[in-house]
Amino acid sequence: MARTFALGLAVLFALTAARAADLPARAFKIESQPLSSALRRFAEQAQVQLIFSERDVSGLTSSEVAGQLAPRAPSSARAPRRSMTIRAPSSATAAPMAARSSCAPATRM
Amino acid sequence: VGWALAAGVAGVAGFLSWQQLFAFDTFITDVGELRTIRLDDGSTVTLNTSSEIRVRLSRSARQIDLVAGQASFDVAQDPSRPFLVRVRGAEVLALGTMFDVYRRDRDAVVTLIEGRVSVAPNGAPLVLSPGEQLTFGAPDRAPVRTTADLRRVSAWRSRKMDFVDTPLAEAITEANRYSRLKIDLRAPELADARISGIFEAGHNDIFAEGLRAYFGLQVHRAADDLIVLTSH
Repeated sequence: MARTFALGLAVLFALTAARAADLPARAFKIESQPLSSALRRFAEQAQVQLIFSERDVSGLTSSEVAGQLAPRAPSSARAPRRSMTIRAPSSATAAPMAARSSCAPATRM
Repeated sequence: VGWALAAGVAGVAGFLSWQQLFAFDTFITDVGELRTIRLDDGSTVTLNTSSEIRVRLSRSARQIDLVAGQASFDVAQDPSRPFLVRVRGAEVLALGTMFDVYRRDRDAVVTLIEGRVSVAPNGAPLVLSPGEQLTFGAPDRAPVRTTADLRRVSAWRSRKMDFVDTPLAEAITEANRYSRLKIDLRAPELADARISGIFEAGHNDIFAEGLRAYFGLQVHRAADDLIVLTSH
């Protein structure tokens, strides 16, 4: 459960970073739920575009996440306890994915 | 002279009645366009990209033909005038309701959002409940009734594309509906690939960039209106 919590937080906050430079600060709140749907809720609230594989997030759950989305966060990040990487190919798109042999520059959230 | 005049008047009246009987208003959207139309009866119709409807409103009936594309209907209550949508040979009868109709290349999909609708794909009416979806009209397939994800079905009204474990080729086809800038995937090894995610419709350059990053593809702008994605 603790692992799930850490992952959920990392993924959600990392995705926040994907367009942070373009976005004003904004509040968001995502209920505890399967990570797939949590990512969707986050995309809606943060107004980012998101691409991922159901296979990569299958069986994972996000705990409740609420906070203020701050601008100027790092542009990509890796979850600390699992091989999950979030890439930001453009200022408008984020792609969380299971880690591959070469990962994007990672920042611990 | 009197008889001739009477016959002339009757002829004109008959023509006007005939014209009124068969007259309809046509509404069309361009590629990437989203348009909401308020009908004279108070109902609203939202047209998705590349869509066309023909509307006939009379004293006894409200009839709409979905000629192309997709439309969402929010129907004003009027028991004296049935609200009927015709698509691919089927009739969708609204019973005070909000619903979505999508005429695809080979079939049609009706999704009920609120209220009730009756759909008669083969003459026998099926009544849908909110959240239910009926796919019909394919010559080689019987109608299929399923439960719909209403958030996904309605995403287009917010200019979004919402994919859940969607075959990549299907997602690209969907994206191409909304943009004159088409994406052509030339990567046979991704034939079985699937994606999930949320994208803004009509921004194929951004969508292609996301696919490039996710699948490690090469992006080639082959023409002003064409992006080619390849694996090498």
